[in-house]
Amino acid sequence: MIDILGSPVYGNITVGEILFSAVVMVLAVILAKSVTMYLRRIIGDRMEKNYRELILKLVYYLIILIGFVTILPVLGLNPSGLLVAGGITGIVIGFASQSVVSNLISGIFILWEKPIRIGDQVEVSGISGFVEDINVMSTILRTYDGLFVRIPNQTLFTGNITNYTGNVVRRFEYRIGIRYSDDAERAIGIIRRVIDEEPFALKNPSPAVFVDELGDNAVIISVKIWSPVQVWYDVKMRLLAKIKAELERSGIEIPFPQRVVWFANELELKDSGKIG
Amino acid sequence: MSLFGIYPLESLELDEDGIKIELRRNENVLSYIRQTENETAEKIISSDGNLVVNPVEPVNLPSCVTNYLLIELKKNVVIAPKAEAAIFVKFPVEVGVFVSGSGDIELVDVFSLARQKYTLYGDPRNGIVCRYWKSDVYQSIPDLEPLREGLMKLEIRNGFDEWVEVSRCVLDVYLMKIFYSDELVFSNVKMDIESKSTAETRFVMEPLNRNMRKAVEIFTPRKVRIASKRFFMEWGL
Repeated sequence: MIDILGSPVYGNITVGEILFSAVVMVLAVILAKSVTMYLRRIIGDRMEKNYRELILKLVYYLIILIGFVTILPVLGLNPSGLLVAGGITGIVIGFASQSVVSNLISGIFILWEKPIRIGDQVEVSGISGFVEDINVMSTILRTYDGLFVRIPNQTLFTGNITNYTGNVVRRFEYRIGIRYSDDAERAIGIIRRVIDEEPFALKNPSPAVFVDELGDNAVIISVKIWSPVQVWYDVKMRLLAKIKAELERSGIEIPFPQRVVWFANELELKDSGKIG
Repeated sequence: MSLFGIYPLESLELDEDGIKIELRRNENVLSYIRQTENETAEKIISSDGNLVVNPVEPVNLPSCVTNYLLIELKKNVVIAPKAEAAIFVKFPVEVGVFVSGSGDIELVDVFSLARQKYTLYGDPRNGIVCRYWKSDVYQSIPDLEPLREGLMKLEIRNGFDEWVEVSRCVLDVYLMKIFYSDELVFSNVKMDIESKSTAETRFVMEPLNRNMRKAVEIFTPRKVRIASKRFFMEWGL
């Protein structure tokens, strides 16, 4: 047994030293997971989720790094020597790991710049959903359909990011058509009253309700409403149905497409009944 | 007479201003039923203890999206340099129902008869969403309906060297101190003006009279941590 552990694998490095290194790394991983789990429990909801996850990741990778640096001398590698001995190996590894490093650097910049946070609703590269996690290499989205999407941080960092919940409030718009025979001013008054009764249709910035277009089939009323980002979609869904019901109750209808046709000659109508 | 008070967790029936609160004993548990004009809430309460009904911070309905209250004054108050003024305004009342016992207290229901409306204070990027309330300015205590409106004493101190016009007051209600009696819901606020457009607001632990009872606030059972005891109005007065 002692002979096997003491037998060299390469240079002076023995099987025992490799096993020792493996055990140290496994212990480092176990320790990192235990410490982050403990910290997660202690921090709980006292810190914003975004910052909490960032701290936990830093602690996790720091412990792994300490474990890795510890086993380097055991494996016959001098950490200070590694720093100096870049050379050709460094260039080769650099080229090979270009995208990995790019994702890593992008991840660090995203965590630093914070264009998105965990829990935000975003659109990135045509994919919309909730930010589930921001890792060093990639960002995880959960689409509105519940799909898991992993986006490399490089794609995220270099692409356009639309953060729907980046500000405290946001605006949404309806375009409501009414008949030409209806009183537009009255319709605007009714819409304003419905908006005023909705708690989360903000008082300020005030909602805008105005005739925006004289369309082919209808007078188009534009309705623009600001709402807190946490509830804007609920308000948007709820309010349109209320506006429609209230307009209909007041005899104002949303018209179907229609076209007036003029004939060059009067139509000859068949008169089936004979006047006696 | 009002709904406010502390009641033992036994069969109970309260009816006031269109609000009906009922506790029905059903073997080992109690059924809690609350009815307002267009809403009913029901819960099962399993333990012995007390039922506490009192006014709470008015930011919980229809759902909690903020912890700020903005009171817009119907008439602006103009204050001379280094002068002080005390006025009364009204604020919306939300009623909280708690169960207490075994050293802990838990919120079971919140309802309100007051109008609910929200607004933005500041700009869309950095501003804050606030519960909105518009109030007249009173020199003395006005008539009030304690289940709908509370009375707020607003002491404004102008520490600035120029005249300042105040049109609104923004408050962080996590710091709110509410006192109540059968006739009145009361809160005391100080506003320290620092410039033409900035001020600090804070609640003061001081009832209108000694007969008033201190309300159980929602942030106590929720164990919300308080970062600061003041709110800084930085986007205009």
